[in-house]
Amino acid sequence: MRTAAECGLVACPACGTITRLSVERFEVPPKCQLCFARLHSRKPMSIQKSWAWLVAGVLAYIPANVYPIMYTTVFGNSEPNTIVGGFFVLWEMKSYPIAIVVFVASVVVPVLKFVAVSYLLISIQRGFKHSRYDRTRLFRLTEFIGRWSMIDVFVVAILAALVQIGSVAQIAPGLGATAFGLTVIFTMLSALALDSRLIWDGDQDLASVNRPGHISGHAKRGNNLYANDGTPLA
Amino acid sequence: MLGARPSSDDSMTRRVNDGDLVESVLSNLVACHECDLLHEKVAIEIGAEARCMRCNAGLYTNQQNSIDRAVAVGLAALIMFVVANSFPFLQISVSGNSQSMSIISAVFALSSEGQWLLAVVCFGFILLFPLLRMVGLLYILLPLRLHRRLPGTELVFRGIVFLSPWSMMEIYLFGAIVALVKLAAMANIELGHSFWAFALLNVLAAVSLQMIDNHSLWELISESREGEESPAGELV
Repeated sequence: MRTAAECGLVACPACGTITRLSVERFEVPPKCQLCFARLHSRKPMSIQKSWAWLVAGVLAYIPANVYPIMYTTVFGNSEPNTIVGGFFVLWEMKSYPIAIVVFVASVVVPVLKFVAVSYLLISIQRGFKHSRYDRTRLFRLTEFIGRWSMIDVFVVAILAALVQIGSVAQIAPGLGATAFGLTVIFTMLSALALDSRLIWDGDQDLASVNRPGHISGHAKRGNNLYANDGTPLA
Repeated sequence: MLGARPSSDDSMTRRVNDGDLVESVLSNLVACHECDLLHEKVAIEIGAEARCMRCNAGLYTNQQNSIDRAVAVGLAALIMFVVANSFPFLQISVSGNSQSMSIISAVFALSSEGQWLLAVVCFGFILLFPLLRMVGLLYILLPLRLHRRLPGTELVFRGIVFLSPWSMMEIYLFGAIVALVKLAAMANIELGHSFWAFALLNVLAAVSLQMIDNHSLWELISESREGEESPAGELV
């Protein structure tokens, strides 16, 4: 078994079609001949772009916590709410489930994402050889969970639209909400820029995958495995 | 790896290098999008998913490519999108005063208080990108159903792939639920028609994705292209 790159092949990022890259056949930059997406064996400048977006995300996370994400006005008394403050209020109200959801979405997920993407980037740059599979899983988790942090921004927007009850109660969004939204977007862009194939480049353990007679592609549904010729395996 | 030369001791490499065989062999290969390992495609049963043997990423699925059903769900989703944006989404009342909002009110609430940048972004995430994806899918599928192809199919396809992570209707729905729980203690809450339409819209969007993911969408497009290139090809 080999990687596409080792065979001089590249898979289209949009449609998956495999193309053989050769200097004479392609204009620069090369495009997929079927769907015309830009082809690249590894995302260009992946590490640099990912670091850049990540730093932007961390920087935006500072004002996101310093400035209020919203202002609550009840009977004329206006009060700023920060992200962490909102959690404490909910906790004191004994709305534990919601407090935990808010805390996870607005503090745990962004911070874990900073740490996880940094670790992945450093591991690629240092050429770590261990736990490639676990790092790939970490990458998947980061990619999947990152966008859910937007829930905080949406909650603020919905509260601001709904709680406009004359003199009784009003909620207005604050600068912190914009900063937090930018944090989420920047870290999503950071994860999108990171090419997970870099985690596996230089993997020398392919021999173990390429045992004679071993399946070279398998399909899973429950516990059913299928060999190359379609016969079910144990 | 432009113009990289593979070493010769690997059977797969040798076949790939065999000049004219290239195209037919390549169409039978799939590279893992997460670790780049090459696999030969194998037939899998309907509903199954082939996974990378090194990193376990999903390679391809065998979805029942029923254009009819995909079009039906797509149209239903589009109608639900219109319905969800035509009625009140949520309503609260506190001591006689009441206030209702539609889905897009959240965007206006952000822009009216000076958070216009965030308002623009949220407009894209909640309304524009999901709508573009739905319309794009129908733009590709409806002509396929009629054995035709409209110009720019490839561009629309790439747009759908690109927009996938930025379409956040389901997150907005959960955001609404969190907001409701926050307010439940202080106000009377009513769910509007839009709320149910929006919930249904999210279900339809999930079903649609289950029926036809980006890869099988491309399969449909390329199948129709093969039809065009056949000698009979009056459809070009």
